[in-house]
Amino acid sequence: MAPAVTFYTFVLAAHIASIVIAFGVTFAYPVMYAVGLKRERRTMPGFHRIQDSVGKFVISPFLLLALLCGIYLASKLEAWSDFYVQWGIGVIVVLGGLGGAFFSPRERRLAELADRDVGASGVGEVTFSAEYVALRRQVASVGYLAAALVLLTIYFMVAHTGA
Amino acid sequence: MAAPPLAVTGYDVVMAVHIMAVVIAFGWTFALPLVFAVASKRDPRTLPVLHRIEVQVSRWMLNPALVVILAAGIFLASDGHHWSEFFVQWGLAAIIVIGGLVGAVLMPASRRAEAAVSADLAAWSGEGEFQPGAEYLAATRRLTIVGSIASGLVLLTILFMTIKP
Repeated sequence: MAPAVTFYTFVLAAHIASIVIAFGVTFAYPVMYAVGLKRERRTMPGFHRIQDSVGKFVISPFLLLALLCGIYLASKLEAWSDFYVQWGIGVIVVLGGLGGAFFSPRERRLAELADRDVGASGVGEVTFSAEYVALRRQVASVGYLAAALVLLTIYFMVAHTGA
Repeated sequence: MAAPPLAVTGYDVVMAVHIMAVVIAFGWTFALPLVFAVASKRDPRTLPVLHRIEVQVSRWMLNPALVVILAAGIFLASDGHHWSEFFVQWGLAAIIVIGGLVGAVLMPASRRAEAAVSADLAAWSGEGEFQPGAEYLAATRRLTIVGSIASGLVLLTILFMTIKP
């Protein structure tokens, strides 16, 4: 085995690893919602607070790392005019923007609404308000779109589409 | 912007599926330390459900995705005639080891943690800071150690797959 570690391949590995770490958790959210809503609705405020923390401390930093690695790789390959590079940069900007301007404030709001609804239910069965259900549906829908964007981008990166 | 020629080869599609499955299978595990830290500090009553979710995600996402990673990897190694290369043999071994750790250690430890913390919470008045019992701490210690080993293995495997030693 002849190790062939160049700085380029190391950065490429860091780029891939940062995408795995940044976005993998978002694919688990639907299961998290389903189990939480089915088994213990009182935990939903906590779930939304966790989502907010994951967005801040896992997704955002690793998205930034993916962007920095991508900039290095595109510069090294002189591939800035290729479609897959421009698409990738665009997607990172869109997902970063969604994280800060869409997901984060709505996840905090969902936590507040869930807290209110759980509190209003007393010791009885928790019934979530229409406002909470509508907002959760909106966040989940945009989350599915973001996940689809991630998967499509992985394909473009692998195929070097437009190179 | 250059027009994107969407030439699709079977190899590219399978390689993309291989990487997508890695994202889906393992990505969430890297967030677990933060998830449990936030839950323990702010919402300890979510801990049993979070351990239940750990088991469900392992069963319904990680395990099927592992099968996809393996099947796609077999196609890629066969198509590229890479079977004799170290990174392929390492990758196969890593999938088997990680699958074994998940099924034999992590999922049972998550179930034990769920049962232990449920009992601890039932005995907790809700006043003051929640202090989990020794059984829960032992289960989470095992989850942390084995989970860290598995995560390290995933990162090392990504490195090997990229540099192809």
